[in-house]
Amino acid sequence: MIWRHGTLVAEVRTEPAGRVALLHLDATQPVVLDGTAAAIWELIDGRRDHAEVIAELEAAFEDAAGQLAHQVEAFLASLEAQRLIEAAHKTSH
Amino acid sequence: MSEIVDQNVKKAGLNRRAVVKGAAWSLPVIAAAIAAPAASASGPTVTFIGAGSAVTYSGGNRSGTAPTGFRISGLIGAVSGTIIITPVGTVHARIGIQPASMFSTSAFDGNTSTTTYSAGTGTGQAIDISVGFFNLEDSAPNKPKPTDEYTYLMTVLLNGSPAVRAETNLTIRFK
Repeated sequence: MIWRHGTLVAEVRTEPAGRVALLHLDATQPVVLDGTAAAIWELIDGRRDHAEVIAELEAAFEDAAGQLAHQVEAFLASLEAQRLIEAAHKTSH
Repeated sequence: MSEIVDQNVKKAGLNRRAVVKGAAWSLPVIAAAIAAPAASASGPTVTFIGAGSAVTYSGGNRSGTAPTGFRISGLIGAVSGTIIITPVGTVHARIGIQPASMFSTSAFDGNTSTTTYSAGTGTGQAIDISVGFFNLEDSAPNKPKPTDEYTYLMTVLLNGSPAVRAETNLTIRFK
C-alpha cells in the first residue's frame, strides 16, 4: 500500500524539532505528531509503499523490542481512520 | 530538472530531518492538540448583567438601580453559591432576592440578606441567572424618609475552591 497525505489536511510543521500539526478540514480539532509519529508522516509521500517506510524507519531507529513494523502498521491505520492519509492509488492517473 | 531535485529531496526522507540515526524507537502516537479554553484554565467566572439598571423593588414598590442578573461562565456542571446584600452605611430597609426556583428564601441578619442559589449546565458553558429584588422597610419611627436613598453592596459568591466572587452596588430610593 502506498499512502499520501490527505488532500483535505492542512499541515504546519516546526523545524528542526519535527513537530507536525495537522487539521483535517472537516474536523474540529487538530492533532500533533511528534518524534516517531512525525518521522512516519515525513515518509508518507505518495511514492514509498509501507514496506519502504518501515525500512527507512528501521534504518533510522534502534528497535530493540522489535515492535517497529507492527506499530507503524497500526499507526498508519490510525492516520487513515482519521482521514489524515489516503491511498495514493485512488486518484492516480 | 527541478522535478528531479524535488524528488531527490523528498526521497531523502528522514535524512533531511532531525532524526538522529540510532535513536531509540518509541511508539508513534497521534496527540490531540486541544488548547484548554481560557475559562477552564482560569475556572468559572461571575459577572453581573445590566449592573446599574433601573429596577423596581417589589414589596415597597420602590425604584432604584441594580443588576438584572448575573452570568456564570466556564461552568463545570452544577454550581451553587450565595448572594449577600449588605447595606453601605445606615439604612432603614432590607433588600432580599425575589423567590425563584434556583433561590432559597432570603434570610436576614439585621439589614443583611443571604440567599443561596444553585444552577448548572454543560461543561464550559455559561448560564444567566436573572435576579429580582424585594425590600422590607422599617416601621415608624424608623420608616425611611421620602428623601432617603440607600446603597447596598451585592456580593455573588460561587462555591468552589477557590470561591469566585463578584460585587456591585444597589441603590433604592424612597421618594
